[in-house]
Amino acid sequence: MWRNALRFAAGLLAGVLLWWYGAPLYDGIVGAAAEPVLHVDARFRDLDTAERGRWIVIRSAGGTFRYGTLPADQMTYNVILFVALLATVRRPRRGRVAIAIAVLFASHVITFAVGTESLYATGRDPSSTEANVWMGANLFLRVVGMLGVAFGCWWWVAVAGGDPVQRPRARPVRRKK
Amino acid sequence: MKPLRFLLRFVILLAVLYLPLTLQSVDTAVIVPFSRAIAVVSAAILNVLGQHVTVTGVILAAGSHAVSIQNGCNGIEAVVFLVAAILAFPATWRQRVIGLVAAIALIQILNLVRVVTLFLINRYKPDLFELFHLAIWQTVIGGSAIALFYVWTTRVHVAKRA
Repeated sequence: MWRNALRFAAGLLAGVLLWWYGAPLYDGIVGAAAEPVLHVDARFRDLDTAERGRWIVIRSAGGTFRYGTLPADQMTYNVILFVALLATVRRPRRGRVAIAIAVLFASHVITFAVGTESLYATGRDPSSTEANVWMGANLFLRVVGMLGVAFGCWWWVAVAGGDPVQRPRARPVRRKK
Repeated sequence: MKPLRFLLRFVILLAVLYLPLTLQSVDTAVIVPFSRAIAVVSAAILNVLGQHVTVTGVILAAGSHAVSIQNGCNGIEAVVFLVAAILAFPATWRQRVIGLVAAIALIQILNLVRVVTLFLINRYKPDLFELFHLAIWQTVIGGSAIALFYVWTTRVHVAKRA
């Protein structure tokens, strides 16, 4: 247990460094990947994103909607938890880790797209059903979704992947003589 | 239990359990008073540490320094996670109740430590506040919730075999 705690702490440190220094670049990639998803909504057909430090700028090439910004690093910080949890896995299978990373990335793209929809729906009419639905989805993803996705990805690699150290197992039961 | 079936049940429960929290009435009647209680207890701890803190709703203040306990800082996300994970995992209701009571109590104690330390960091090292608020404490709370769930699953397994 203490060894796992130490591995988690080392992973936490590595995750913090990765996120702190890598977030601007990574956030830009997430924003770019979210563009085609947002283009599905006709109102965002000419949407374009650009990274500005730890924020992502959302703009319209044709001026069809106002300029907006999203704190993208607040949508990706569960990378730290995933790295810390992954550090506790002794023999992770590469294929499973790759799938987990892909799921984590997809969840960031979805969170960014939902965050954008929520930002503009709230700006149009904060009391509308549309704004409430997008806001609810945005809060779900940013409050419990971040934790849930990191946990699910770790579970997929460690427990479902059959890591001998992570798999829940029984302690030997002593029999009375 | 098949791991993928567990994950599916977990995701569905997470969404179902989170839905009531999005309602304004639940926020007013449950979440805000709960956050206020955290603010009162945290202020009491900080005052023992000589910080001279006052509480206004969910805001802790001392001089020009203040922190506000919002959703995401009250430990509710870890509680929802624990409830969803423990309910999704095969166990008896007695085991689930014991696991939930113990895990939620520990998470809330840890959350008090988070609020107190974040207040102190905001007061004495404000340049480090965002790093601790977003990166370190969120990960520690999330990691602790997952660790508590994991330890509980091993106990449930022991109980099944015994």
